[in-house]
Amino acid sequence: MIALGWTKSKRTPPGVITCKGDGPIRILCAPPCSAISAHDRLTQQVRCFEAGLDFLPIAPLQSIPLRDATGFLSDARLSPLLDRLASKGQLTISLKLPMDKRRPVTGGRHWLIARKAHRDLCNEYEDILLGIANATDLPQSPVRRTAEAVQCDILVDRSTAHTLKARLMADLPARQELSQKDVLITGLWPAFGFADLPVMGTIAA
Amino acid sequence: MTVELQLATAEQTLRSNDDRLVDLVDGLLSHGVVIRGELWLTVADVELVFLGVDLLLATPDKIKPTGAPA
Repeated sequence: MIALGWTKSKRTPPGVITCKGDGPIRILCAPPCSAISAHDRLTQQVRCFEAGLDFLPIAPLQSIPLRDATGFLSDARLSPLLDRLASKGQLTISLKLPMDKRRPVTGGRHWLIARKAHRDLCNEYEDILLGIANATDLPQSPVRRTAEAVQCDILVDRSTAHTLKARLMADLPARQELSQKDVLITGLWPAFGFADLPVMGTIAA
Repeated sequence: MTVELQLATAEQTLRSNDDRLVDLVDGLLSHGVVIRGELWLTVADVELVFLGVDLLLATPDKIKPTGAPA
């Protein structure tokens, strides 16, 4: 079985997902055949979340066997973090970077100038995104950059997520700094951006 | 002034082939609880080399939890 996360919820998981363990914190698991890729694991996590289960999600890129996840049940940080994220999910806001219109690099100096211009542009977009996130007065994750966009997550109560989405849809078009920009709001997602809990294993060699 | 504004649920995002939504999903995959490995190479109880690895290359039997990082 592949672990998807830890939960205190007593709800029955959807589909092929099961809860393992008999303590206050249990492990959400999926059969290996339904959690082969990171995308599969993310899909199963979203199904659990949409079924009303609150859980601390394992990063989908990691395929963690049940026996390894069981070893971390005694980690004292799990319970308070689960309580903090109870009934919450994240909205992910993405601001698309403009197409890179740089001409082919013709030399070292040109390369450095082009890189600086791109970095300045990313910083400008990050500031705009932070402005949107700050205006919600809700907890937010650090901004991350992907190949095509800058993104950040906003932690929101399940019950107020619809209201926040509606407010963003109404407010954002009026923001001057977003003129000609491409904004994407997705969610609710499990609170991936707030499950910041690196857990360590030691390998004796 | 025009703002291109798009709203999608998690389910719609996962099913979409739209480049922007695929890129957004890619950005999410590495977030959540991350199990990191510590590899210590020791000789005669002297710790010589430390490696921090996010991709664990060991059999599960050799991994034991050590709690919070120092």
